Amino acid sequence: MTTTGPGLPRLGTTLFSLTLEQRRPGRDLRSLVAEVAARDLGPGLEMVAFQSLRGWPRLDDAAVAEVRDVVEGSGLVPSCLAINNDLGQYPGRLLSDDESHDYVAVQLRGAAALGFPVTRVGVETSPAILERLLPLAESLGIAVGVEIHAPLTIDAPPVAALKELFTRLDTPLLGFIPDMSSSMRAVPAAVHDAHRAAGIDPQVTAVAEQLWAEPGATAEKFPELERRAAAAGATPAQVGNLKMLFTMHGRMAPERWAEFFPHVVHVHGKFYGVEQGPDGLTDPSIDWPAVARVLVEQGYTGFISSEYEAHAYSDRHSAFDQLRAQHDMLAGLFAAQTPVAAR
Amino acid sequence: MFDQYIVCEEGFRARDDGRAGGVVEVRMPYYRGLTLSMVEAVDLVLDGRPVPPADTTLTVHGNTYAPDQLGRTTDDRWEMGERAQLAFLTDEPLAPGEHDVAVAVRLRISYMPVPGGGRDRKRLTLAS
Repeated sequence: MTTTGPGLPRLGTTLFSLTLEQRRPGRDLRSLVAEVAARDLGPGLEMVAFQSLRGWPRLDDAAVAEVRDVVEGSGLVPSCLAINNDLGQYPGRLLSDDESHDYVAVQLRGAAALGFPVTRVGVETSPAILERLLPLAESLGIAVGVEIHAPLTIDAPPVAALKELFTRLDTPLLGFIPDMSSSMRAVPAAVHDAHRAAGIDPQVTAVAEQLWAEPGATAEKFPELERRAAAAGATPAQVGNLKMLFTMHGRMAPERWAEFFPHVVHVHGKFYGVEQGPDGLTDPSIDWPAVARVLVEQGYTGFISSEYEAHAYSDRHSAFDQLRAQHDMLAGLFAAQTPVAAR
Repeated sequence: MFDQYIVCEEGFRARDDGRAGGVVEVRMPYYRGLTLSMVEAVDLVLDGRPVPPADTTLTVHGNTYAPDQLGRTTDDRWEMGERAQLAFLTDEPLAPGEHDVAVAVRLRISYMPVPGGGRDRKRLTLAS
């Protein structure tokens, strides 16, 4: 098994990486989880509740027993269950605080029943709601992690508010889930594939990418993006694709993940393609050596879920092969470092 | 995301209720299931001509909804990867052979800073 040594982050996979695999005819959760285990892509196992669990969040006892049996039988270790706070589920208004709290609370109970130690929510779950959820999380013994995904960075006001909350409450049951989408060094080639497929002139993509690489916060670049893209001949619909390029890929320096510690409960190893380079496996869009250094220096021994996302844009890679490549690359990077505890 | 999988290559067919029009199978451009109230629109352009939303229905695992019913439907979910049937009316029966089918799905995902959804366009051959 591709395990990492004591005092180092542990590897794992989120079934999100296998989104397309999950909808293949004849594929079910049991066979998918078994294949993840057989391909040695654990030990951590994460899944997206609203993706992999039909009927979520109201699973009956038989469904809960079935999922537990699938996971336990695989030998994998439940790492995190991604849940959602659908604030916009009613047209014309957002959920009230009470509705938002209750919507997440049901899912915390469901995640605990399935044996997951951590749940993932997004930044739309406010600090006030998180604080209200803490007593329930304590009674269930389950952590609630807020995913920091592009376009969020350490400099975003909602992140500062969360940091203040986590520092004040200082509990292992509330914290961040860094997602490497926030700290990318290049736009993935898979996004170029999707833009070509959508009929976007590669020169228009290049104009957007040039602006992407310039300093500045994402939202502040949108007016300039609209101006430059229109001048380059993009249609309004294509400008929508270009904005996605900005919101899905952040430019934070990976070293700044250190500022989220010690309040980190899980990590998303988001990636879009690991390649064989002259010096071994490498990722053109994410600086994994820098990420690995931060995680080890911070003494992080939780899971990092490999989260392959290029399948959303391109079929240029096999998801299973990519998970294997990222596991091998990360295992090598972690092994090359000395755990903090051993220094 | 997943835009290229919205329009299914199989299952494009004439309506089976005797009225002029057809059915195209569609998937949601998102990584997870969403309550139907979060599906703002599933717009169809057939051979370059927009089909009025009122002339379409969306059927998800056997449950059929008019576009103006989707926003009120919080107890049914379009699952990830699930093929829904977008049925539509036309003035004349569909001609045999190939058609240009473009579908735009708009989703209301509260945490996204830009409107969610996606577009796809394929040449489909009408099943005989």
